[in-house]
Amino acid sequence: MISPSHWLEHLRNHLAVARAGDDPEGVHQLRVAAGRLSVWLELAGRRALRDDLAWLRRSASGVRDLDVLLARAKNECGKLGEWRGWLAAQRDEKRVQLVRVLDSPRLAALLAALSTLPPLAPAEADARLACFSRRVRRAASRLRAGAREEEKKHDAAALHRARRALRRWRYALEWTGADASEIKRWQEDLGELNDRAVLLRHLDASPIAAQLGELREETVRQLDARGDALYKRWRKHGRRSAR
Amino acid sequence: MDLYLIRHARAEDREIGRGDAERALTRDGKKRFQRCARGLERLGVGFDRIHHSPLLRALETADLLVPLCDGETIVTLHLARAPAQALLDELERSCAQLGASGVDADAARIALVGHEPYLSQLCAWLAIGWRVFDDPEQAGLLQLEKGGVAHLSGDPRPGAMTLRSLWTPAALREIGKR
Repeated sequence: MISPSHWLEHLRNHLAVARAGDDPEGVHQLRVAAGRLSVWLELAGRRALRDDLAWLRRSASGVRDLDVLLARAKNECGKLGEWRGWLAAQRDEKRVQLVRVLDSPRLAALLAALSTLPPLAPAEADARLACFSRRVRRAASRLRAGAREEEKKHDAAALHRARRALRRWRYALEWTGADASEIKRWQEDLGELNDRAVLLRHLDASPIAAQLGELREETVRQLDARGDALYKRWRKHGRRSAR
Repeated sequence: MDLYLIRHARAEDREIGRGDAERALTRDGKKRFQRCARGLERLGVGFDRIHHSPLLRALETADLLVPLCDGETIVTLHLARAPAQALLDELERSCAQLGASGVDADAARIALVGHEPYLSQLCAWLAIGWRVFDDPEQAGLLQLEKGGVAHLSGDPRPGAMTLRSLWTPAALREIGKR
C-alpha cells in the first residue's frame, strides 16, 4: 500500500523552517512536499484538498523564485547590486504573505485532513499513471508549437504548464516505485530554462529595467539557445520517454 | 448568495483504534450519495466553491460534489465544530474572493459540507437569527439526514437568510433517477 504519511511528515517538518526564513531550503521542501502530496491525491482519485495544496504551493513559489534569483545575484554590485536590493525587498514582501498562510486556520485544516487519508492500493495508482504522461505529451507539443512563433517564443505560461506536467509525472512514477530518472533529467533541463524565464520576468518588472539591458539580452540569448537545444532533444528522444 | 448545507454521506461505524476523523464513506454510502448528487444536478444546482470539514467522510462527500462545482474546494476547521462567527467571516471572504474573480457576489453559490448537529445549528442561526440549538430542548427540531441538503439564500449573517428548500437524500435520489 502507498501511504502519504512520509511526505506529510516532510511537510510538517519544513513548515517551521519555512516560517523562520533562515534557510531557503525550508520553503523549497515545503513546495516539494505539497506537490508530491497533490500527485498522491490524484493517483488516489481524490479531488478535494488539491486546491488547498495548490494554494500552499503558490504561496511558497513567490518566495522560492526570488530566493533562487537572490542566491545567483549575491555578489553583484553597481546597477545589478541595486537590482538585487529590489529583489530582496520583493522577497521580504512575499515572505510576509507566506508567513500569514503558514499561520492560517486553512493550513491547520489541510494538515488535519491530510492526516486522515488511508493508504492507496498500488493497482489503483498504476491505473491512473497514463493520465500523467498524456498531459506531458500535450504540454510538450504546445510548447513546441509556441516556440515556432517568434512572439510566443518565451511563453512563460506554456513553459510553466510543461514543467508542471513533467514534475507531476515524475512524482507519480516515484509514488508507484517506477524509475523516474529519465523524467528527472528532463525536469532539470526544463527547470534551468524556467530559471532564465523567471530572471527575465524579474528584469522586466524591475524599476531600473532600462539600465539592465545587457543582462536582459544575455538572458534572452540563453533562453533561445537552451530552448532550441531542448526542443531538438525532445523531438529525438523525448517522445519515447513520454510513452 | 445561495448557500447549500450538505451533510456527509453514510460513513463507516466507529471502531476502537481508529479516530473518528478517519471514518471513510462506505461503498454503499458513496453510491447512494452519487445518486443524490445527480438529483442536485437535475435540480440545476451547481456551486462556485465548496467548503468542507477536514474529517475524511466530509472530504469524500465533497469529492463526489466536485462535478457540480466550477471552482475551488476549500478545507476548513470551522465546519468540524459548532457554528461560530469565524465561519460566517470565512463565507464573507469567500464571497468577496468570488466577486473579485468575476462571479456575481450576490449570486454566488457556495456549498458547505459538514456534520450534525452543527449544520442544523447553522441553518437555524442563519434563518432565525438566534442560536436556538443552544437550548437542549430544541435539539432535534431540525435535523439533516446523512446526504441531506438545506438550501438558504441571502446574506450569510444570523437571521439574514431564508430557508428555500430542505431535501432528504431519498428525495434527491428519486429526482436523480428521473
